[in-house]
Amino acid sequence: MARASLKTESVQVARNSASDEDLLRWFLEGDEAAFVALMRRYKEPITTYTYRFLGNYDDAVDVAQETFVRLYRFGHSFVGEVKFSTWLYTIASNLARTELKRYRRRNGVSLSEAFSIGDDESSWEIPDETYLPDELVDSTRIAQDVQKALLSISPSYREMVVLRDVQQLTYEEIAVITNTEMGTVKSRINRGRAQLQVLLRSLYNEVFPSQE
Amino acid sequence: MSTLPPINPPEDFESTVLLRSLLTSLPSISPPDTFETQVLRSAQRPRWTIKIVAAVAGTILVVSSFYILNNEPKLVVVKPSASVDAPQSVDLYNLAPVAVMQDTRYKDLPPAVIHRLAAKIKAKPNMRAPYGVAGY
Repeated sequence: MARASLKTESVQVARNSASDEDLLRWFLEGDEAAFVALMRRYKEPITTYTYRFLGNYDDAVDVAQETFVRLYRFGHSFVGEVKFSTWLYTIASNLARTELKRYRRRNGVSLSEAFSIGDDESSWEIPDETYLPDELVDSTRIAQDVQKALLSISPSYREMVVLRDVQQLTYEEIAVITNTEMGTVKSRINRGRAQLQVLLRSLYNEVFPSQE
Repeated sequence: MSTLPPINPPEDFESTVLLRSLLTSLPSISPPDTFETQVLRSAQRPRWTIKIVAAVAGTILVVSSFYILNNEPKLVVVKPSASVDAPQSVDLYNLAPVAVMQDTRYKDLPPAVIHRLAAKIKAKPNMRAPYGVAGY
């Protein structure tokens, strides 16, 4: 009995210390607990990303769950060209963008208006002011103000700023996730940051009074 | 002594650092407690649905094919039926004589009218028959 529980515990430790790719391989070989371990490892970062991008908690959780459902069904399509986390963020990013398009369609922002311009730099330029920050999620006023400012910049900038400055991903990973050239990634992040600085100027003076 | 010029940071250096520190300090978003259960339920449900749909479709296929095979409609063979009065074979060189009947349609008309009608009919010798002729 004790030996069995010891074995179970050691398997659990192995799962916790295993790499993402190993967990995925074990899951594909039939170990469902490996999938749960992967989900526990990434559910919070993915939910954070989708919430910061979409701005609505319920939609963010829904998209995050759908991301893991896709992982469950299509995990076999991971070929290892990129890191597992990059691949997972790519799924979440695509789903979040689709959700945002759907939301805009439902709420009257025409797709032609929002997505008609083919130029990479200027697509998604229309800021998304329809979502309101969820005050139950961001309990502090600073976090609410930052989230509100994030939602005020265009989704193409927001997506990359969140991936870089909130999720701490590298430029290379962001380029893969968003399927965008590296130069475009950098310029969008810089523009997004510049817009945020303008929007958060009053907060700067409040949080960092010695700045002036 | 270094001759390389000092590198000046951009003007927005400090404000960008402040912004990035604000963004980094945003709290993580915790998913609800039911997150994992819902994911597993959603991920596994379609497999069962597919299995059930496949089973139902297979049953319908088997039953319908059984029904079709056992209730095959009887084929009706259409055979040309021989005409009742027509002779089975005709000997063109030994045709039976046909009785000549007098045309009595105009017997009540005066002779002058009958002659005029006869002249009209004779005036159109190439008039086509009112029925089709094979080959023409």
